Amino acid sequence: MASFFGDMIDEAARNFRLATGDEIRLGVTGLSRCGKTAFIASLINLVTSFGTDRATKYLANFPEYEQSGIVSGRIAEPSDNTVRMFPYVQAADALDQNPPHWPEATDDISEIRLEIKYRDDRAWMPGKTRSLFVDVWDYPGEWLMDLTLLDLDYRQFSEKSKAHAQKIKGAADPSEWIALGQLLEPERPADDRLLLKVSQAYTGWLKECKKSGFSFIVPGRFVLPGKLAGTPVLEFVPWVWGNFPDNPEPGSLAALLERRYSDYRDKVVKRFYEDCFKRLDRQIVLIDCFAAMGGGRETYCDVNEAFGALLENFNYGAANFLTRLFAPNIDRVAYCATKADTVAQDQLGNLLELLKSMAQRSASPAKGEGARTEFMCLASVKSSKYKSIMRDGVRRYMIATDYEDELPFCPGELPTEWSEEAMEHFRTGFIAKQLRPPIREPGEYVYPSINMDTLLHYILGDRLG
Amino acid sequence: MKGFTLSPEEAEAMQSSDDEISSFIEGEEPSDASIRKNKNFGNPKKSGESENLFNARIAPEDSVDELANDSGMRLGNDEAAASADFPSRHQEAASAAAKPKHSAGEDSENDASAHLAKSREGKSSGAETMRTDRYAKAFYADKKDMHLLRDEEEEFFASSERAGDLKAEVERDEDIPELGAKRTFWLSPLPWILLLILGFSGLQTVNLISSAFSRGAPEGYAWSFAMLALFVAASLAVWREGRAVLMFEKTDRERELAAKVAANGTAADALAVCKRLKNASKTDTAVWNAFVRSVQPHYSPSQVFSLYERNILSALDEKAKKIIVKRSRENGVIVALSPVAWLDMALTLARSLRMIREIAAVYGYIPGIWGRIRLYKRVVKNIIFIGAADLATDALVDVFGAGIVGKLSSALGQGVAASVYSSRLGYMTVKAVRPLPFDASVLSLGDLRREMLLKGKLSDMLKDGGARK
Repeated sequence: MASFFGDMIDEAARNFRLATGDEIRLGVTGLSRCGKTAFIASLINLVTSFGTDRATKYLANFPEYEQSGIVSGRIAEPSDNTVRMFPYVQAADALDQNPPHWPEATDDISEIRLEIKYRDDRAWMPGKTRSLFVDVWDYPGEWLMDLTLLDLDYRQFSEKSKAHAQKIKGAADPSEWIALGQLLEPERPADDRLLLKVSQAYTGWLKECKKSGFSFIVPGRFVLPGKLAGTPVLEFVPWVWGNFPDNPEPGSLAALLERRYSDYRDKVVKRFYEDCFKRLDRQIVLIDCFAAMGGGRETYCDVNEAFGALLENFNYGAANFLTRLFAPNIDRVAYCATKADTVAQDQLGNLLELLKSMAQRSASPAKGEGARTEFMCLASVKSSKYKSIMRDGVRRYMIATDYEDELPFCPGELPTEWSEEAMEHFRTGFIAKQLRPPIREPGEYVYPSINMDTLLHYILGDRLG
Repeated sequence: MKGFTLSPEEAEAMQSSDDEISSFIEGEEPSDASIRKNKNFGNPKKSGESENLFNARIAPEDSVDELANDSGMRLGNDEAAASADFPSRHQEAASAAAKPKHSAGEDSENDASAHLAKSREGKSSGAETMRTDRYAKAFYADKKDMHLLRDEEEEFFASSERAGDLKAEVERDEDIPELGAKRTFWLSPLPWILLLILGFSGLQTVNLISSAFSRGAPEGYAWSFAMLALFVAASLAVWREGRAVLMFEKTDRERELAAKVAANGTAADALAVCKRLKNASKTDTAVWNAFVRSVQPHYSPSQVFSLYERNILSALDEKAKKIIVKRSRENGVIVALSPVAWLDMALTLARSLRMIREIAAVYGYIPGIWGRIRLYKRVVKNIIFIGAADLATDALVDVFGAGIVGKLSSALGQGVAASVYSSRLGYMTVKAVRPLPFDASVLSLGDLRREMLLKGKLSDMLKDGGARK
């Protein structure tokens, strides 16, 4: 009982900080491989450089930096010591090495808390500084799609998986696990060995899907189990073989599958949702347009589906004092087309158009609820330099990297709309390269970036001062 | 357009976009460059001079060498290079204009780019319908010609010099209803009221003078001489203001260019536009350089523009606001004090024109012809209001009879109204003149009114008037 009240008081204190605007819970959402980890590393790097001369060069589009008199930024004590801290040091080391490489992808939930100190302009506190805390949450992008399972029961999940497998079988062939599973008998007690085999084959297929660039992969923990590796909750498969008994006998395979699925949904996915999403008040959605464009015909539907499903699970709406106190929800969403440094400077506008066209579907519900949405191009660690050359009487914009063995190239023109036709053009005409991280001069602390300052302005601007 | 990789030889010839940006940095010392530019800037354009003017304003080729010689400034090689390849770019523009549209069929590249080009055209045509064909062709012949902004500008200067292109000016104006208003000019009551007031004022003046003559010839001559002198002074003021205003560049072009660059340009293109704005407003070189240094090649044109607004334009906005407040207050005081309706009107006219000129001088621009007509119409409306109010209160005071206090307070009321009207005119002027569009955070009528009425002579008079009552 005491702990219950203690929790409540803690909760109230937290929410009070949220309500007075001194804390922002920032969600960084994105499918896997869209650059979340690099983005968070770059964000921390930029915030910790606040107050030094090195930072001002990168903050021209963040007018609040000057206006509200930001003094310093640092990594603060985490609010929850039981959650892993974002491995900033490792990420920074990876980018600082020679030659540098991109930080390792995340395989578990982590949190980092940043503190920004700025001048306090309130009349009763002259000459003091105030702090704004920014809680950033990182998690593997693979798990994100699991949120779509929250309102599905086992039957619906099976149907959906079946339809999905049917749709994408051209790119990833599910026949192996389907053939193996023919032998499963739902009415009889489970054959553990066979079930394990089928679920392993199923996992293999999901991994194959991921390798071919699909993003709608559920259940996500099968691909990236984290702490759950080897637990029975990951040993189930969707039922795609004919009839499934309506009221399965206790002890039968059908009952076992249903239970494992509902455990997965209630104990794994729901907890993940509550930890990471439910109480966010700002959201950054990172979208890798190039990966989406580069996929085949199947990817087109897949991406649409993924986007549509993605944002149903957040609370969006204009936040005021009361709603923030009792039910914090997201009042600003930024959609960012990541890896914007892989296009030439004249194509940034096209990239933005493309992003808008891709995200329109998922952005509209958020807008309807009163959350502000913003679209922007983003390169959290800018790996290219812009060049131009006169060629055939026309000026062509090029990008060049820091690496000697890579000749400067013109990536080509990006389509401005998200359609299958455009995807085809993209695949034939556009040079989409995975750039290597920039080689930085020693002593250069801040990572070069595109639009990190604009993003800060959008995400933090109204809370400063 | 397909992607391609450069050969090593070509890679040598590349120009870095960072250098391109920093080529906009100007010599640090208060060089004679700015003086020269300002001199050029003051000249009214003559048709033959458009190219020279262009050179002076945009890429001071003619002065590059001189400057390099006489002040030993750090002039980037790039600028020299830029001026060197200027003629070639010029030719490109010419050829691009000659070849009307790079049509999808003759395009050397595949359908992909044709498709893209089409979609792009579709996108742009919505927003830019008002452009003339020729202009559009030259501009959109290839999107990459964005970089030819400078040639483009020259083209524009040349084309707008010709009388036939007034149509282009008209078509580019956003406010089409204004034209309708023009057509029905003689149907509107405005000119008739104006005529009526002028007639009455004439009678009033004649009355004044004849009553002076009735008191004696010398007094009569003195009065008529004084009236004549006032009339001449007012006309002179009007003429002078009008002529001074013609010296400035027209805002429409800059807005046009800014919109175009914002639609599909790069940071360097945006900087080229900003440079025009900066030259027109005589901004300090150091301020400009600080601004250029903060621009990075990946900024979108609108980011560059908003940076420009924050760093440079905001100071000008502040200046313009001060001018509006000051002039409006003065106007109020004058209207409150002056005895005769037409004198009110003449002085208000002169003051209003002066305010327009001063605001224009802050930004270095005046609106295009229709914008100007709108402003002048506003001016005329204001003076009609002032004249009519004056005559009406005179008549009322005559009919109902009021003491000196009544007269004074009605005059004060007129003064307040006049200053409010005049501040509204100032607001409209800024709106018409500011080369980049603005929102309420820059300037709002409420702010102006508050500032105007809370301080200054007029509010003192108001308080005194109240106390006397």
